[in-house]
Amino acid sequence: MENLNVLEILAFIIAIIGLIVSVIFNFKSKQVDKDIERLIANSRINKDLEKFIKIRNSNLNNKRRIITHKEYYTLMNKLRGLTDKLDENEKKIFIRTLDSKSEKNKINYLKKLLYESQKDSSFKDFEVQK
Amino acid sequence: MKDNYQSFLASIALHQILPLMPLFIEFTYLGHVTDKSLTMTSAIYAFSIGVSSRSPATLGLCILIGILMSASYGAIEKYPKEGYPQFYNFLSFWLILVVFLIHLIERFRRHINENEDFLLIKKNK
Repeated sequence: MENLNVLEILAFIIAIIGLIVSVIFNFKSKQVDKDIERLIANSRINKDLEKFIKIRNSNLNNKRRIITHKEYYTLMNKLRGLTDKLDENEKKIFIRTLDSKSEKNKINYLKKLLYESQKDSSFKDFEVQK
Repeated sequence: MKDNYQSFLASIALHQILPLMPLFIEFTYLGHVTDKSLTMTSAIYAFSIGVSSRSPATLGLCILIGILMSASYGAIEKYPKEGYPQFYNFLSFWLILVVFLIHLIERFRRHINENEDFLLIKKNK
């Protein structure tokens, strides 16, 4: 190889070190706990969670609760904060479900999860408003 | 195409390939790339990738690479070589490739694994 000089060789060695570092730190197995901790630590989600709990505890007996798309997406984020109640496998399934399932399946899955985690029958009647 | 894949491709096109366009254009019009162009591009590319990265380690290493290649450019200016070897004969070409890979891996993690939106095209959720 022509045009080699010491500076270039040194720079190339540093680049190889950088590549090794990048591979090690970016290809670690996905740490679901850290993702969830990060989401829970988000103060905006915690404030919304308080509001959400107030709404949930309001008098919704025997009424169908309609939520807008915005609330639905906010709800998804909040549920990520509730996943400390799930075990490792369930957490992974939950995260994958939110990212990949169809709208209908997502809603059904969320309803089921909310009902199971909160044991609150008012969650049975959530319906997303289009 | 899923949004995260679109963000990933957009980041590759705009953050990683776009800065290398002058080299492609030089190669297209001249049939070769000079060592000066490659060395200068590798220095600037390392700086820009370091700044674009969220990893402090990548930033630090890329700044070092950028400084070394800037100094190397000075040496090439003072002692120019004859002729036009193929681009793959220059270590700076391989250096650009390695820096490209470093950031490609990070962007894959950020956009594909973590569903991060591409900065310029952030959606209102």
